Amino acid sequence: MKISRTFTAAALLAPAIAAADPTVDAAVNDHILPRFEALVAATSDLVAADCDAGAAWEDAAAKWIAVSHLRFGPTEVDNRAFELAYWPDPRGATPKALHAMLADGNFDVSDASIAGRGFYAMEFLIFDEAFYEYEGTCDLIAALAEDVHANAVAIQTDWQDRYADLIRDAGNEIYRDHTESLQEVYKAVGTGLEFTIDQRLARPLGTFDRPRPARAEMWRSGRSLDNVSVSLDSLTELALILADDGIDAQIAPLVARAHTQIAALSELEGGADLSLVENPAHRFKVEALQQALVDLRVVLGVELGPQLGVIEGFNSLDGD
Amino acid sequence: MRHLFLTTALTLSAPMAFAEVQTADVLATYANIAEAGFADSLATAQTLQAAVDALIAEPSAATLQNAKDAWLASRVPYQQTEVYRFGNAIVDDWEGKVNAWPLDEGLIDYVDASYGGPTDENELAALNVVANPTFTLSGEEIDATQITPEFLEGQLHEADGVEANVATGYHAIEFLLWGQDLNGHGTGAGDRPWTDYAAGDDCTNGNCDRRADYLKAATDLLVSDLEWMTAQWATGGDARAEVLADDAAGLSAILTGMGSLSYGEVAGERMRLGVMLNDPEEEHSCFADNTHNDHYYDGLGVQNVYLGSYTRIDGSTVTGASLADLVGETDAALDAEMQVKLAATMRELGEIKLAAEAGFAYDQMLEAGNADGEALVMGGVNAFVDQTRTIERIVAVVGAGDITVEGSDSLDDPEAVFQ
Repeated sequence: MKISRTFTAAALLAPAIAAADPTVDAAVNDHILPRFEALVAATSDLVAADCDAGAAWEDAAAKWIAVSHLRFGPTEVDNRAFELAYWPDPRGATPKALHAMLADGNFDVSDASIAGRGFYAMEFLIFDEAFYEYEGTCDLIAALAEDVHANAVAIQTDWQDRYADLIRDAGNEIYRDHTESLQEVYKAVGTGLEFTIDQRLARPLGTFDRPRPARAEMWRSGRSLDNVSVSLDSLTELALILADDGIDAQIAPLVARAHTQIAALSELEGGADLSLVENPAHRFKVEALQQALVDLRVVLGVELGPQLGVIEGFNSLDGD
Repeated sequence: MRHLFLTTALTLSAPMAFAEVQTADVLATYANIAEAGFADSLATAQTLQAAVDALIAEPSAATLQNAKDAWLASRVPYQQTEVYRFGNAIVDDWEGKVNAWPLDEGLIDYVDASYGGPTDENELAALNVVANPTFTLSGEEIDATQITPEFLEGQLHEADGVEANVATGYHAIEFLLWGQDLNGHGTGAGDRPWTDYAAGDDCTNGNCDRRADYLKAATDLLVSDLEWMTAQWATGGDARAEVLADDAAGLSAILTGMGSLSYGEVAGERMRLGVMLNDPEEEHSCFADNTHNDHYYDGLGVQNVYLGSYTRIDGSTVTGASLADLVGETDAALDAEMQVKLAATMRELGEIKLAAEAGFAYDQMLEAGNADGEALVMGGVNAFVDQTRTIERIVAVVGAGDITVEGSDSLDDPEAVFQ
């Protein structure tokens, strides 16, 4: 963009007025804010549902999955996102924490371990028979719903009151310029896809000889496959906001390919919870879905990053 | 690795032309520090090996304590090498044998009843190979009558494809020296009696000879693994050759290692998660209560490679042209920002270390509701996260980059996907 000499001179004289980057602005207005608004509405319904929370939990969990890639700024303050969602849980900390809380009868969850809070803990209480026997299960579900809603509201409020302007305008300590704010949004797409490929799909797949259906995300409620679908839709929405027309044309067929696989899997016994990874005749369909997402990740890395002029940088999944 | 392993690697396409500082010299310093760090790790592991031999030959409270002291000393240089992991495949592919964590220690030896049995994730979580010379794994009978380095490395490590089945390396040895830390959030480390290695009727908790065999095999394996890695960084070694082969790739290795260790690994996986789970088992060295030092020397390793200076275990230093010199030549303000942030991180990690050494155990810091402990640990986390942002800025200055993702053919070779 060329800045006219007059404009530059005026800018030097006038107090600095921050200008929003149009792409980041669109990502905030058309993706981030409405998606968190939907989460707040769904968690409000979850609170209202009280003990009969199955359907309301499913809806709220899906709304969380749709923002689960937006892990920066308001979600990271006071560990809000971790309190909403602790998964994967390789050492079984969630059921352990819940059994302990129910045995103690202590439902003040605001200072509890993240393993005993959020959507994944609620899934155990609602869908796992091991927790039906406790007297306090219903009260704990209610307490966790309140906690989840409070965190969702805190994130939304923080976005509206503070962070939306920060990332739109840049020129501050967090985002020095628009390249840095654009990088943040771009990074979220890649990190989200990486999480689906490496956790939501690779964990249950295990190896051909040793598939691991019990490592699927939210298998108790049968949400494993739908989570992949919901996340893909949300990530596609954001990617299309960032991409120009040429890259849109490359993204669309890959997303369609992934959705074809998801639709085929959803028709099959053991598709919803991905337990069909144990079935050699169907397992390859999960692998094909994973490959479609890997190919999409490549397009984003090779085409979208350079188009935006940003590098992906580091994310929280780096490391083991 | 079995699972898709997606780690960010920064590929720098065009390093800037620098007037004075030669990139090749910066890379040579980086390789020299690696060689010295792994050589120091090897030397201290050999001291540990001698102490373990002495413990087994003449079990006593004193010989057990000597072995523990040697283990603690061996961690000082080793943790400073962790900054070499994520940028160098040759280190990352090897590291799992040496420093894998967290572990289901019941695989190895006896544990307290509160530990529980097999879990959904791990059928072998309570196997106790010390007490069981044969066992069944996925329907197959396994012969563990001889506990050798080959058995630990080839059959028991990551058995059944479970990463928590850590059979080798520093943390397996740590468990065999200290035992479980049963103090919960209280002070105090594991308290294994020396008689766990005693002969005949003095033997406590059974199978003292097999426990000694295990300790000996794991320690010998650690030494041979470190010998191998030291050679990779010596003149003519593969790791050194790889770093020196290409200026852009070499700088990318340095920055990738600094950023990935700072953010995803130490700040995330090892520090923040422990605070949020309030779990004293979520300590990198949970048996020895040495976690404050683990974090401290990880942070120091990052600072070392940026400043191009490493202080060896004998007090001598390895120094040379550094990334700091390179960045400072182009953007002095950015170099200053990086140095300030690295120093701030070391101060935060130093506060954790001094509190722990003065009696405020890392376990206590992790307890729910312990605001001072949480503030200490989160101070370290925030500093690591903050320095990662500046590392990203350096990536942008040193060379316009794009991204490659390791571990998948289609990702490593993006062109192949479009053919």
